[in-house]
Amino acid sequence: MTNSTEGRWLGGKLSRRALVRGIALGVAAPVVSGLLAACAREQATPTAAPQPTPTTAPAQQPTPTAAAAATPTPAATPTATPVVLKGTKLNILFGTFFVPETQDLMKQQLQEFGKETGVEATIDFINWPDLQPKISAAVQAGAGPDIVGMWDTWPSLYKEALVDVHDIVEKRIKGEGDYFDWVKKTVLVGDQWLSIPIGAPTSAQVFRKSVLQKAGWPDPNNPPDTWEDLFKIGVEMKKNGMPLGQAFGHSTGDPPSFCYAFMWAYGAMEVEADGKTVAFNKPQFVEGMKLFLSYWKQAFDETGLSWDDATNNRAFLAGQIGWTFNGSSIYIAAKKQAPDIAEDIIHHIYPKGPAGRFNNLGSWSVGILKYSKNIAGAKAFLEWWTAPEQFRKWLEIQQGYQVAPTAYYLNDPYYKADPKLVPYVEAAKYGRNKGYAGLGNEKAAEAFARYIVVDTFARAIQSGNAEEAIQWGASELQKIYGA
Amino acid sequence: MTTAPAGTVTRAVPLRLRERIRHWLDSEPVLAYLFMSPGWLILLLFMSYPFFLGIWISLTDRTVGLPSGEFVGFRNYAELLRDRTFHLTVMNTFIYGFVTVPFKLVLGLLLALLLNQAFPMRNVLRAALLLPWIVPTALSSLAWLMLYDAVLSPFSWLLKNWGLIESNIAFLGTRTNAIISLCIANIWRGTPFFAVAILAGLQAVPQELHEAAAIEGANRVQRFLAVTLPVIKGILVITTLFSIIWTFADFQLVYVLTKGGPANSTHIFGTYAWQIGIGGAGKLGIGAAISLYMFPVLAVLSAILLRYVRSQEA
Repeated sequence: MTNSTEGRWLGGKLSRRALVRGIALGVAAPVVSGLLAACAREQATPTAAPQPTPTTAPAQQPTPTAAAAATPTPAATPTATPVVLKGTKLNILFGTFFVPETQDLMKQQLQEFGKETGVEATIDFINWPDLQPKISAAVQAGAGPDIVGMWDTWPSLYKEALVDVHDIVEKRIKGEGDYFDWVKKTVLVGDQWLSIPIGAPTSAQVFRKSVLQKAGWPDPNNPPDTWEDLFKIGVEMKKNGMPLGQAFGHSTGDPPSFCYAFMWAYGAMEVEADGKTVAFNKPQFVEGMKLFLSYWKQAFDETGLSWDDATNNRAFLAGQIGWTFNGSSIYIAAKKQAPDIAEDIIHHIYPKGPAGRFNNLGSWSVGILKYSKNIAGAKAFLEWWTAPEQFRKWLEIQQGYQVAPTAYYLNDPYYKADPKLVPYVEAAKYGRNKGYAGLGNEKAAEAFARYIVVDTFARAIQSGNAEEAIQWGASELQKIYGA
Repeated sequence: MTTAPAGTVTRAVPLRLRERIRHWLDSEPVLAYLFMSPGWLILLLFMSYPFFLGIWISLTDRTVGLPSGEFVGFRNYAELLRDRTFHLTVMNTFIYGFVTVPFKLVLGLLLALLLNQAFPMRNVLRAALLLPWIVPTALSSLAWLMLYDAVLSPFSWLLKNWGLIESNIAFLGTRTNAIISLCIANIWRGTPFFAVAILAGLQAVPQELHEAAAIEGANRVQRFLAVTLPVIKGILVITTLFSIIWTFADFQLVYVLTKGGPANSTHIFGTYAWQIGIGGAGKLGIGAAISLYMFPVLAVLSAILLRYVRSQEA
């Protein structure tokens, strides 16, 4: 009976058990081998990533000195671009721009670069708050975009993951002059250039002249110049249904713009120049915070605690607020969507406090991640794109939204063509870096990313207790700078 | 003379080996393990490995972008015990996890009982009921973000138009408002899961029992308590536990709506771990420790769930 052909196939050659066994092996083998192969790849990545395959590396990835020698002119012209770049791929990651045409321009520039060099380049734009997590995830995974746009202080945070680009930076300095001090303080990592500065958007006060006038301000063409005057006129503006509008939520643009500037204007700072001594809990700042709290309900839109970077734009354009801090994006959008509001807008630099007039300014920069398999292509692109021929177009399309990292561009017509935008360039004079009076390093980045200064204001608003909120902020900063 | 035996040996060994492997594979337990091996491997690599890696990272001072961290023992866990934001995070997670579930249970039960009645378009409504559940959470959260918008919220607009309020409601502007708003959005999203699961359970309630109870004079409530409830009790327990576990481990809704603000007052474990570990300064060690504080709670809930399922099987 055991030899019967029941339960056998292929003319009795294949038993049911043999078939089941075969299936089991068939299923298990590819899974096991696939997983082992995946593991092997994962293990190989860290060592292989910085330098692509040995056979192609010498051709595709010249050393910085070799790259510099191959491209003697500042701009990487099509003829100067190494032929080996043809067919390689490049992916770039940036935050979205409030002037959306900037993104279209960058796509066009990439296409142009692609035509000239044969590099297949793509670019992704993601929301500002998602940019840093995305870069962190890519760095941790060792895979993702080749080039990333970074905010100030981030180069310090990712210093181990960024390619040295001093060769390109030196060409830029030679061609366009030295960078502003606030640029160097926020992009240099020690004495290393790990990314190329591209300047920063600045903020200014955005007023509606008609609202100021209605509130009784004597000269709407010369808006309030001190914090206290701003708060006082805010009370009248709110009575007329057009309060001051300021974001205090977990967002990386507008909330820090207000909070850092106010903190400095009232004599406090995150840390002293030694980078260790926290200088946040200052009597003058406590008094300033009390002043602010005394006007919060009377002068501000009280829903501001949950606002993000875009809420004040919407509120201003919807005619719900009469003042806010912002880049020029509100005005630029108003020119298209609501010319009457654009006409009514007046910009003014940051208000003064007892300790002076300051604003939070740190340069954005673009860097290449070490895991990139096309570092040569990435360098060629950045050299081409940061050269005046391309970079000027990028600055121009933003109509003054982005202040250039060097004085070389500041006399360009687009910075002065519209008198209403001049305060945005002027703001560059009053810039202080995050982490001032220390450096804009990884500690400043951590304090910023944890929203400590912003949350100090939010806590004060919620509790009404300036002392307690500032004490909390100081203790949180102590954990970072004192560690 | 010397080569012949050697040749015999080399032929004989593979044959014997092949025989032994065949024998070995003929064994039922071996074959069973072989069948299970792909699943085991997937579990090991994609569940166990990240879990144990997470435990290891939580014991180091590892940060994003740096090659590796140093072993710091339980320092990260101890630091969190002194962190006031973390205390608030724990409280928020418990509020979020335990307050929403009873609402979801009751609303889900009511919906299921309604949809179990015969009426026109019943199937269409049953399908529509699932929408909040099947729409990606990130997407539905964005819809809620617009509804709660501080400036352009339709709720505020409507209430202002009716003359009930004078200024916009700060739905996400204070801790209390934000927690309530988050809970409402969570209840909206989670109720269909309860409704569908209970509806499936209601199909298993024997109609004869209902009829018999009715003949005995039981009213609707009595029939529900004596006939329906005992049958769907198991489903109620399992869905409740699942919902608590999922709500505890939530991330997307809170991240999209508040990002833990204002002033870190609405963080739950997931969002706070993210802010510290990835979204913040890349403190992976502390981020992992925050996540792992969630583990004992989830482990206890999972154990209760498994125990209950097994007791039902027995």
